[in-house]
Amino acid sequence: MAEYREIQGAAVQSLASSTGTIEGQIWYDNVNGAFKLQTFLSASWASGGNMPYAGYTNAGAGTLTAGLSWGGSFPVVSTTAEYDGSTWTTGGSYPVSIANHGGTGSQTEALSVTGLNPGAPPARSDAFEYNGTSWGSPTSVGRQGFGMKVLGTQTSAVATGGGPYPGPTYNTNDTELYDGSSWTAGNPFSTIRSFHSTGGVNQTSGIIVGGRSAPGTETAINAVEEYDGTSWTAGTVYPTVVKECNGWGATNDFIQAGGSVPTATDACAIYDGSTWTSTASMPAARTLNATSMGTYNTQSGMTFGGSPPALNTTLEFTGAQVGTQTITTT
Amino acid sequence: MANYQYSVATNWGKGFITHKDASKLEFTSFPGNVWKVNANNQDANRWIAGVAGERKTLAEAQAIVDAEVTQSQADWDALPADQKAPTVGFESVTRPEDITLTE
Repeated sequence: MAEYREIQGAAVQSLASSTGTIEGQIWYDNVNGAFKLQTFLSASWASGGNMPYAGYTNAGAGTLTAGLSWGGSFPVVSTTAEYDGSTWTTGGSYPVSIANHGGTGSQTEALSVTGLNPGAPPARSDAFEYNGTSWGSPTSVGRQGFGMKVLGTQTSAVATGGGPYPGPTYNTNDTELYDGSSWTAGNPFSTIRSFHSTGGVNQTSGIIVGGRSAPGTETAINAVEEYDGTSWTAGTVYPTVVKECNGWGATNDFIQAGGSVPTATDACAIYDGSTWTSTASMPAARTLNATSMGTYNTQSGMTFGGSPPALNTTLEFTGAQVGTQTITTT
Repeated sequence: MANYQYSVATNWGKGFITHKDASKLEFTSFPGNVWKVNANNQDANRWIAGVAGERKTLAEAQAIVDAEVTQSQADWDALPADQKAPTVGFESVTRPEDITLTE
């Protein structure tokens, strides 16, 4: 029988780790006593820890290992939950029971904007900051925001769309900018919307995808718009119309996860700044779900909560990458 | 030969489906904790055993899903009319649709 060295022209390296290996290389892990292969691993969703409450229209922030979820319905709650990569535990309660709101930032520096408790209209116009322990520092966004979504950080945020409720025109194209202390109006985008997806690092770069459009209706759209710190320009449309959706990332590396098309979908796609490409589907359709903000790329992140029905489950995403597989004889 | 098999298992959270599982198998969940995974597949069989899944025939799985959907439809039908109106629905509540399972 031919040996590996004869076929490949080189012996299998004996290494303590995969450092220095290349895609396609077989190596011997002398720490764990196993042959391994550096190979392309496709993107996948895995189950994460279950949240202490079930809900949809919750908001999310943080990363896969330091995530945050707050609010949601039904019933509408003020619960905040913190994720450590395995387990959700309760954090400081939101000042009011809230749903249909927007969220961004990190687990210890999160920002929550507006929202609506359907049992206590009208829509809210306030924002709160989370410091890892409690919600405080209330500010006025300047307008009501039923279905408003926000991107960026606690000190450099862009709140987009949504609008007053009750009222027939809760979808808007309004932008509000937050610097960590006060809100000012930004330039409007083109297509009115609410319950859309947002991504972006801060006030210098953002993306909005899909959502409900047309005044007072829930018509899904596929329009994408990108923000450069001053104005909005059209991006490549999403492959389908989608609303009540969520995602994470940046303008050149963004993942859209689930939503309604118009019924709940398990479909996900990644945007590189010019093209949408399908990626791993979630195990089940999920809409009105919240997501982490990730690390402003699609290498990792998660979605939690959503519908139907009200969900307490978490799905963790790992993007396509070169990784290590153990070679077995079975 | 069937391409998929069904089982009932409760998602306990972290570790229920791992990235390793997801890279090898195709998972789809349905109402009633019904899970659809690849048939004639050792990895799928190991996953079902690992999550203490209870195997179901297509007909048995369909009956479980039907019962859950029927209950959800009844719950939706009992909602006040204003919560069903698409221009008012805060969360886009729509009547759950029938689901037909396939192998």
